[in-house]
Amino acid sequence: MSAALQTPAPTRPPTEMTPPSGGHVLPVALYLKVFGALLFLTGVTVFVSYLDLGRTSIVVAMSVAVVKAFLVAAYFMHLKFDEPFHVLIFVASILFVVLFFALTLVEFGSRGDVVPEQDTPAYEQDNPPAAPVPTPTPLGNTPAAPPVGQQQPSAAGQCDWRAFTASLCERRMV
Amino acid sequence: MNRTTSTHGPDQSPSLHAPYDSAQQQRSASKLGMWIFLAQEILFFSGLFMAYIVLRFLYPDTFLQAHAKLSIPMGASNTVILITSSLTMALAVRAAQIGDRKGQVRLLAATLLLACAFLVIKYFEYMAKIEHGFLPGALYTGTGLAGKPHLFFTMYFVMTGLHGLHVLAGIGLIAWLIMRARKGAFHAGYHTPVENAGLYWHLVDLIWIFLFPLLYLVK
Repeated sequence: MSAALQTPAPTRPPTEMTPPSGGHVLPVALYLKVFGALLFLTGVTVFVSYLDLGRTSIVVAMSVAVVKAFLVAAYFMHLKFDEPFHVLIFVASILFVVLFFALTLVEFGSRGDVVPEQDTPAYEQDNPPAAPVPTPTPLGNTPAAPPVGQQQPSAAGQCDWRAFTASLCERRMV
Repeated sequence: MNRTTSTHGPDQSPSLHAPYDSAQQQRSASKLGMWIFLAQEILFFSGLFMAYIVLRFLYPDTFLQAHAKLSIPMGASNTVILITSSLTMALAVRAAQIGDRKGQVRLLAATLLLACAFLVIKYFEYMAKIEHGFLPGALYTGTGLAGKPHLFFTMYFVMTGLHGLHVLAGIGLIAWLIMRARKGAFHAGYHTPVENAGLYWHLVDLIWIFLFPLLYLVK
């Protein structure tokens, strides 16, 4: 094996020194700036969560999280100054996660769309749910009548496993 | 680790092993392995994130109500603690790069302290949940929440618990690094373990950056 197999490092900004084993030393000021940006963005995330943005609030929160992730990956993890192959590995893993989410959500979101009898689990066909789940009551009030199949802990704090498993079927979790 | 005497040019540190021809090649291979591990870690957590997405999609009101039982100040403090620990870790790697032995030990120790602080706050958060019966799945005995709050708390405990285990593993890793760094094992010519532990630690921070808004700031 020869030096030809070594990946040439990309051009990088002037640094104080380059260690003998490769790599790159970044100035402390750069790390501190990234740190400041991360703290600021954390503040933004918390602040925005108190605003009433409806459905876009999750989009905003995730966008800010992505920006923070980019800063950590590019500067703290040195991806900006590192071999491009490492960037490829990182980005590829994210792409596969996105693929995973997309396909699962497509499948999940379209359940029951095609043939209702075939898409309803057998348990529910035999025992259709008696009543719809009541709308959530305000905090502090326990619901008077629990919905069908909801797990009921007994007075001693034990769990009703049979009802719990049945409720999983009812809710299409199994 | 074995220390083979170098017989080649001046860029070969005493920690160079066969089959690598140079320290740079050895470092590059080592970092490649670490990045592949990090890719696996991302996919590892993605399963839980997928479960979170599905459950939140199914029961948005439950998530909205149940998440109010979490303490945003504690969650935000943990976020700040982890981001600061990422900074001290990055600076520790830099200290190793320029051969500053005292600096790297101090900064690694700071990272370790911050990581422990994170776990301490987590401990108090968990205790508060357990006291009120806000437990995962079938263990749930809390009151005052409508819908299916045991599902939310399942996601909360499993996701933060798995993340907490990663923090614990990171603490062990950093403690090992400190012990080696104090003996001067890391210098400008060889500091790959510090770099790789840094990468792992930054990933732990990255995961928390996504966990925090999803669990604590539901809207």
